[in-house]
Order: sequence, then C-alpha cells, then structure tokens
Amino acid sequence: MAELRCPNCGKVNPADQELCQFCYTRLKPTGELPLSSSDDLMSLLGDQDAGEDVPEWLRDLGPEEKVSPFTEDFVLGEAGEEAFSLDFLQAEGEPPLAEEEGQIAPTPFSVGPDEADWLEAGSGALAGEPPLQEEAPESQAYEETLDWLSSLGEEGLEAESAGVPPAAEPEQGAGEDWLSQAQEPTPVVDSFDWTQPEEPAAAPGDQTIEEADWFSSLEAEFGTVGPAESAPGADFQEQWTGSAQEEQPDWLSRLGPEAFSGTEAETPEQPAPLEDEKELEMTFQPPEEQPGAEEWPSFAAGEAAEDGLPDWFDQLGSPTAGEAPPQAEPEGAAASVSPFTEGFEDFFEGDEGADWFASGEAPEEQPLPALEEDLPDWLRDAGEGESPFGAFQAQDRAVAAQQQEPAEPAASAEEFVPSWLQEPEEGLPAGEELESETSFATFEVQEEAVPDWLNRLDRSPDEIPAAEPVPAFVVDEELPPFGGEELMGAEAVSEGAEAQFGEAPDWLDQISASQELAPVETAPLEVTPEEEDLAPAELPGWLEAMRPSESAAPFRDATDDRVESQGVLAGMPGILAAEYDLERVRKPPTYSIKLQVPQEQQERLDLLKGLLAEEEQVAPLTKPPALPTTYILRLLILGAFVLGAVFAFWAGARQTPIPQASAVPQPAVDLSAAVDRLPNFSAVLVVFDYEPGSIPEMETAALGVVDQLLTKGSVIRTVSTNTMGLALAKRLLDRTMAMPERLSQPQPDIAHLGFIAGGPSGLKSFARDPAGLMRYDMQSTDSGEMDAWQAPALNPEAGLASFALVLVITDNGESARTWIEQVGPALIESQVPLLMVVSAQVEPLVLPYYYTAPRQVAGVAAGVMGGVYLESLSERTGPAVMLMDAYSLTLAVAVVLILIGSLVYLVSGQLKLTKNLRNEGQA
Amino acid sequence: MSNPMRIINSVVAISAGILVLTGYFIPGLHFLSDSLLHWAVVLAGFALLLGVFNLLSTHANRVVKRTKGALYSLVLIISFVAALVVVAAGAPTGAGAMWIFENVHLPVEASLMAILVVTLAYSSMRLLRRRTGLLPVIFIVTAFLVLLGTAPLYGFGDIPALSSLKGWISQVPAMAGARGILIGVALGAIATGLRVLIGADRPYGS
Repeated sequence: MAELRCPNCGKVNPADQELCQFCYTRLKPTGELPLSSSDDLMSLLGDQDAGEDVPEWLRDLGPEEKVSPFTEDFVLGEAGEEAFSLDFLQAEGEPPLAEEEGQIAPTPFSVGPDEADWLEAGSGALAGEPPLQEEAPESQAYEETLDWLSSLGEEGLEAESAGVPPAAEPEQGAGEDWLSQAQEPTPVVDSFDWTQPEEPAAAPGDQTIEEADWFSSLEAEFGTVGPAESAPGADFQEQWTGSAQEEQPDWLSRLGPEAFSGTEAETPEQPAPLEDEKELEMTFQPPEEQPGAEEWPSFAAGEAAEDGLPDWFDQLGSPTAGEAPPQAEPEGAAASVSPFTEGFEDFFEGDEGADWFASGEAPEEQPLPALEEDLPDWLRDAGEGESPFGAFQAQDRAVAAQQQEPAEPAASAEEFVPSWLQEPEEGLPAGEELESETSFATFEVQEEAVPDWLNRLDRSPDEIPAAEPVPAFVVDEELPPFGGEELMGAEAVSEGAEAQFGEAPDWLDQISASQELAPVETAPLEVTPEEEDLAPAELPGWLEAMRPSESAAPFRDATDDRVESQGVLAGMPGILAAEYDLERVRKPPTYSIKLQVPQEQQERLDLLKGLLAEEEQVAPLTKPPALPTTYILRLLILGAFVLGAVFAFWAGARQTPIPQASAVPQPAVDLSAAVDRLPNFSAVLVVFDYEPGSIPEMETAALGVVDQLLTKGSVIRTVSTNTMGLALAKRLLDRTMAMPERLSQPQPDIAHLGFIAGGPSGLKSFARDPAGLMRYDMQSTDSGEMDAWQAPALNPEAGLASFALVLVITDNGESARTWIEQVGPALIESQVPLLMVVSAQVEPLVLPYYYTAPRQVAGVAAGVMGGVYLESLSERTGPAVMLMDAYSLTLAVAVVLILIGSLVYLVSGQLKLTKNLRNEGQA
Repeated sequence: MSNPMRIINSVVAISAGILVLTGYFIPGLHFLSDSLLHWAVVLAGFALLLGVFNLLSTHANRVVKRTKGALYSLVLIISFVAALVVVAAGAPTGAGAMWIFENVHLPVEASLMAILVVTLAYSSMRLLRRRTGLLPVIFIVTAFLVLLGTAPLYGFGDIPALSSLKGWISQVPAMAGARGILIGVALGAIATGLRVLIGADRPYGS
C-alpha cells in the first residue's frame, strides 16, 4: 500500500496522506469509530468518564435532548463516517452491480487486495465450494458477526448455498452486522474502478470464513453478485476495526465500544462490558425468549448502562422496562418485524431467490413503504429489487426511534412495520417463517413512541402530499450536527427536515437559537487627508439674508439607530418601522417665505399703500354759497340790459338818428335795389329758415322786404328747411299784411310749400325740380287750390326759373351757405337774384358770397340795422326804426358792462395773482 | 368684408354718390341724379318721422320706468300729443297751431336768446380774468369796436370812424376768416365725399 487513490477524484496520493492532494478529500477516516448505533454513541455521551474527551458541542448535545434520527447520523458522520454516508448515498444512484468481476470500489469501504481473497472465498462459497479458512482474523467477535450474516444468508436462501451454516440465533455484534449490511448492498462500486485493487482497505483485517460463506450464499442466490455487492459489509467492518482505528482520537476510541455495543467484541482492544452485550443480545431476541416477560429487554435497560448513562439516555430505553412485553401473536411475524429483516428483504425483494429471507411477516397487499414513496425516482429505481438502502435507512431510523422510545405492544408495532415487510412471502413454509422469526430480533414498538417522521414513512402514499420534498437522505447527509440552519439556511432545514420528520426537535431549535450571530463588522468611513483639510461651507452674509427663514420642513433622519424591542426582530438595530413611513405620509406643512425687507423699503411700501388708500377716499364737496357773486353779477347784467331797453322806451323820443342812405351798406342797398327791380305780380320764393328765438331780429330785418314784395303784388311761395318755417312764414306774412297801410290792398297770392327735408340734398333736389318736390300749398284746405304751381306767374316745368326773386331769411350760416351753394347755381343759371336777410351773426359768412363775381348773393341785409337800412332806403318808418334807440342803448350798456367787467376782473385777477405769488414767496 | 350687408351698403352708397356726382358733369344723367335726390328727400322726411317716434318711445320708457326726469318726459309727450292733435285737427298754419307757436314756442326761444345776451356779456367780462394776454385783449377790443360800430350810439348818432372800422373788420378780417372757414368746409366736404365714394368712410354703418 504505497499509494492511496482518492475516492473522489480517483487520483493517486501517497499512503501517508490523509487528504487528497488534488481535491482535498479525506483519504483515510479520521479515526476508527466502531459505533454501530447512534444510541450507543449517545450512551457514551452521557458517560461521565467519557465526557472529558468528548468535544463540548457533542457533550452539550447529549444530555439535553433526545437525539433525533438525523442528528444521530450527523454524529456518526462527524466521527468519520461522512464519507461513508456520501458513498452510501452515491451508491443509491448508481447501477447496483458491477458487470465485471474483480472490480472493487476504491472507497474507504471497498475491499482491498487483502479482501480479494475474501471475495474469492465468498465467490467460492456461492459457487458451492467450501469456504476458505482465513488466517488471522481480526477478532473473534468479528468472525461471529460474519457468521451471523452468513446465517442470514443461508436461511434466506433456504440452504441453497451449501456450506454456509445457518445462524440459529443472533450473536454478539448482531447490531453491527445489520449496520454493516445496511452499507453492504451499496452499489457505489459501480462508480469506482473495481479493477484497481491496489487501493487497500483502510482496515487491515482479513475476511473471515464466515463472511465469505455468507457472501457465497448470496452469490449462489444471485449468481452474478459482484464483489462490490458483497464487499460493503466487510468493508464497513474493516473501516472501523482496522488499523485506521489507531488514528482516531482517544475520546472517540473510548466512545466506540460503548456507543456500539455490538462492535465492542470486534475490537479486542476495547472489549465491551459483558452485561451490555447480553442486554443487547436480548434486545434482538424474540420476546418469548427473553428472560423477563415484564421487562422489555432493551439493550439500554441494563443496570450497567443505567449506571453509566444519563437520565436522558435512560428515557430512551426505559419506556420498555415498565411495560409489558409484547405478546406473541399468531401473526407475530408481522408484528415483530426486525428492521434488519426489512432491510434484507428489501435487498432481495426484486429477486425470486430471496425466498430464504421471506419470513412471511409482510402482508401481501401492503403497498410499497412510504419511504420509497418519498424517494426520488432515481433513488427509488435503484432501490427496487436491487438496493435496499432506502428501506434499510428507514429501518435504521426506526431502530433509533425504537431505542429512544421503545416498544409498545406487538399489536401496535404492526403499524410501524412497513406493509411490504408485513406481506408474507408466498411459498414460504410456516415452519420457515418461524425460523426466520426466531432468527432475528424483533421489535414491538408502540405507536406513540414512533416519531412523526417515522409515522410519515409508514403512511400510505395517498396520505402523503405529493409535493413533499425528497426525504431524509439529503438532510441526513448534508445537515451538520449543529446549527444546520446557519450552514444550510433555515429555509433548507424547515423544508427538508420538517417535511421529512414533521418538525425539528426542540433541542435543535434551541441550539440554533442560542448560536450567536457573528457581529457584522462595518468598515469605518475613510476620510482622506485632503477631506480633513476642507472647512465646512458657510453662506455669505448677503446670501444668508436672502435665505427664506423657516422655508424647509423638518426632516427626520431615516438612519434611526433604535433597536427593535419586540417581535421576532427584537434586539436588532436599524429596523425600519412601519409607523415610520406612516408618519412621513402626512401632508407636509406649508411654510411661508419671509424675506428680510429693509426699513427703507418698508417705508416706501407704507407710503405707496397710503397713496392708494387716499385715492379711494372721496373728497368732500365744498358747499357753494347761497348767493354767489356770479349769480349776482348775472342779475346785474340782466338788469342793466333791461334797464337800458326800458330806458330807451321810457325816453320816448328817438335819441338815435336814422342812418343816411349814403351810410347804408352796399349789400343792403343791392338787396333793396333788387326788390325794387322786381316786377309786379311776379313770383317770389321766400325761404324762412330761422328759429323762433330769432324772430325779433329776423322779422325786424325782413319785414321791410316782405312789405315791398307785398306792395308789388308778388306771388309769394314760401318754403323752409325748418320744421317751423311754415309757422314762421305765416306769422311774418300775417304780421306784414296786418300793417295798417296793407289793409286796403288786395290779398296777395301766398302759398306755403312746406318743409324741405334732406338738408343739402333736399335743396339740391328742390333746385332741380321745385314743382315736383314741393307741389302743394300746405295751408290750403281747398283741393282745387292745393297746387301751388297753378299760379300764372309760375311754371312748374321752368322750376326755379319761374320765380323772379328768391329771398332767403335765415339766422343760420349753414343754412345760408347751403342755399347759396345748392340752389345758387340754379338761380344764377336762371338769372334769378338770390337775396338774403340774415341775422347779424351770419353776415360775415354771407358777405363773402356777396363779394364774388358773379355775385352768388345779390343783396344782403343783416340784423336789426339791416332792417333800419332798408326802411331808411324806402323812406318809411318800420319796426326797425322804432327799435333802434333801445337797440343802440342796449349795445352801449353791453359795451359798458363788458368794459367795466373786464377791467374789474382784470385788476382782481392781477391782485389775486400777486397775492398768491406773495404767499408762495413767503412759504 | 365677410358680412354681405356691408357689401350691399357700400355698393349702394358708392353707386349713389357716383351717380349724383356724375350728374353734375354729364347733363344726360340729371334725371338719374334727380331721382336719387328725390329719394333722399323722401327718405329724410321718413327719417324725421322715425325720429319723432323714437323720441316718443324713449320718453315713454322713461315715464314707465319712472327714471330721473320722467316728469319732463311726460310733459314732452303731452305736448307732442297736444300739438299733434291741434295741428291734425286744423292745418299746419291753422289757428290752433299758430296759437301754440305764438304763445309757447316763440316766447320760449326768445327768452333763450335773451339769456344768451346776458351770458355773453358776463363771459366777456370774465375773459380778462381767466386769460391775460394779447389775444383776449384783441378779442375784447374787437368786440368793443364791432358793438360800437354796429349801430349809432345812443345819443350820439353814427360815428363814421367806428362805422368804418367796423366795416373794415367785417369785410377784411372777418371775411377772411369766414372765407377760410368756407374753403375749409368745402375741402372737408370734398374729402368726405371721396372717402364715402371709395368706401373708406362708411357713415351708413359697418
């Protein structure tokens, strides 16, 4: 054995290496731990003597709680069987058998070159050859173990394999045997190179003849059983009884014999106490063969064990002590099923040659074990008919559970036994069933003692949820002994372990909870030297003044270091509380922006506000005096005019001389001349376009002319552009005709044509066709006399040319201008003179038409003085001459008043101005 | 120009103006312009009638709503109805119509003219208090001269210098100003006529 081949990577390593140089896989077991049962280990854990060498974690584990099934496996794995477990599981997924003989799995449990002989002997035994007597067995106990296994094979094979003596009853180390066989059918050999036997087994022990016989019987049964199938059992023994045992620590060495009571005989260096062996032996005996019917012969119920084991361990085995031993029933085979037989039966289940093993305990109609239902497909396929490990593993757990809370009456144990094991093998004789029953130790387990996870295994497939995860294999192998949650995560534990076993033991939870979380070291904030030199920022004064005060809402730092005080997160800092966010959800407060206004600006603002307020106030009106000076003055002016007129009339005698003919203005002279040239009984058009308010002036001026016209018997047609023209004409003509000298003359032909509408357009139209526009007399009531154009002096077709003279009496310059401009051209064209008697105010506007060539206006008489001139020219006294004194005196009063008033106001104004200037100068 | 009524109004106004204007230059178009002028007189008379009814409706509304001055409106309406009844019963120059004219209309307007005399005199007196400058003085002096030259002075008779000065003022400066006004009015009338003819000014509505 110069080299060791790594079971993982398959590379060769020096013999002295414990770990693979390439993959760091352990090449050798850390120590020999000949523990055949976890309960044995637990018993040792409770031993005071061994407590010192046991690691602290392991020592704490034992006394507190019962060892859970999967924790038990962890203990074993921790002791050096981890590789075993892995390989064992690996074998589940591999083809069970090596096709070629001579291939040996290079596992720690594989058979080395020394074991080749053992295999060969086995092969020979299976082939019917006599078993070879091997020299130098490791120990007698080990040989007996193999014999026991061989006996199992013989009974199972029904003596088909001759030369293998059947084991009538289990011997010491039976527990280890079944444990060895549990590993035995591991088909892991297929994954390793069996053709390389240079990998020696860790245990130097040789194969015994019994072992070879046992294997020979198996090979005789299957014919083609490879060495890998038969090797693991011995390999396992070699693992823990070989030379590698020397490498294990002392504490573990001392643990070995006590923990595995069945293997203590296999290790001659550490012989187990005899009483324990007997108790263990009795444990696997049928109830009827046990010495006391009232005391269940649990292997843990011995006095020696009770003395050396703690209470918790006593509780594992003691429940059976006070209970009645299970009664053998007619179907006791089904009730008293040994987990080992289950494993073996499962091992040979698919083979017809396994009849020797069939003990008839399992009922025929029982479905597959629940464990197989929980297995993945690949694992189930591997186990069906070939690999018994699935059921065997479950049996292992069942045994552990049995030992922790042992037995109930046999009747209840029937539920625990898998149905497939309870199913009786067909064709098996009853006597053989009894033999098989007596050849194995049987358990009767109370239903209450079965843990949940085991009950789950026993449930029918229908009762198991389909979504349950893969069972305990993964958990058993991967979970570390302590703090599995830490390494695998609590989720893995909860999903894996709880799904398989219902729930994790309380002690494991306590262990997990008691583990202190490693403090998380936070890296301190690194501040560079450059940053240290930086001074904190400061706002300048002017910017600080512009900064709105109270413009920012208070901010609550999110990095709150408060520590959670309750709940599952109690004790943890930095927890974001739900109410924290709720606090922040509230409506943010509104802050007004208040700028710092200087005093100067504030004063200006107040001044502006005052001005705006004053504008809205209504200034009180000053009450005028009851008799203002203006009113008095106006009364005085009126009185002066009235007084002057009254004085003129009161004086009587004409104080104003009548102007001479030479002093009459030329327009008045031309007007009088035009009337004088007018033929008698000619048609004359008189226009009355003045307002009634101007009647005194206008009638005074026009009365002389109209009187001349009436004197000549003119046919008078009156027209007006004023609505009151008709009345004005009637009034003037009536007044003229009412004169005393006209009373004796015939009535003139007078017709009132009416009102010409339309202003200039009407006048233009009237100038174009006067007969068509103003045809009828408005004052005539006789229909035969309504046509104003029926007079002999008038020719309707001639139009304005029918008239010998057109006299316009107006006090309106616009009206005069319109007549001159719109009718004047037609009159000029017809050579009809246009005479105008106007008010004194219109004279300046009419005279320009008089002073034209040809004259658009033949004569003009303006105002009262125009009447005086006409009366003066006609040498008669008319109303104008009568009014001339009053008119002259009133004008004089007016001139005096204006003169005096102007002077007074001028002086007073100057004085007031001077006073104001003086006051301003003083101010 | 999106409103068709604006187009129609403009076309009618411009066409009428052009036709009447061409009637001055083309003798053959007199009948057309004369017809339009006749239509204008009728339309103006009808517009006066509409104005009368509008006046009555306005004052009637004021009387019904009893707004401020409703009493005067009521007097107007009563006067209108009375005059209408009196004139319609007789003639426009009947006794009743002339009585109303002689006893109501004429004294009222004559009184207004008398008040004007006092007002003008008072304003002339205060002119120099308001404005103290050359133009007010010229205005006052001119008024003095015209008043004194218009009529022979009471007790003194005609003053030839004042009469001559007044004649000069009336015929030279006053006539110059009057001509200027007349010329300006004529130019304004031409411009207004052209604006109406080209549609730039639409006094008949937009």
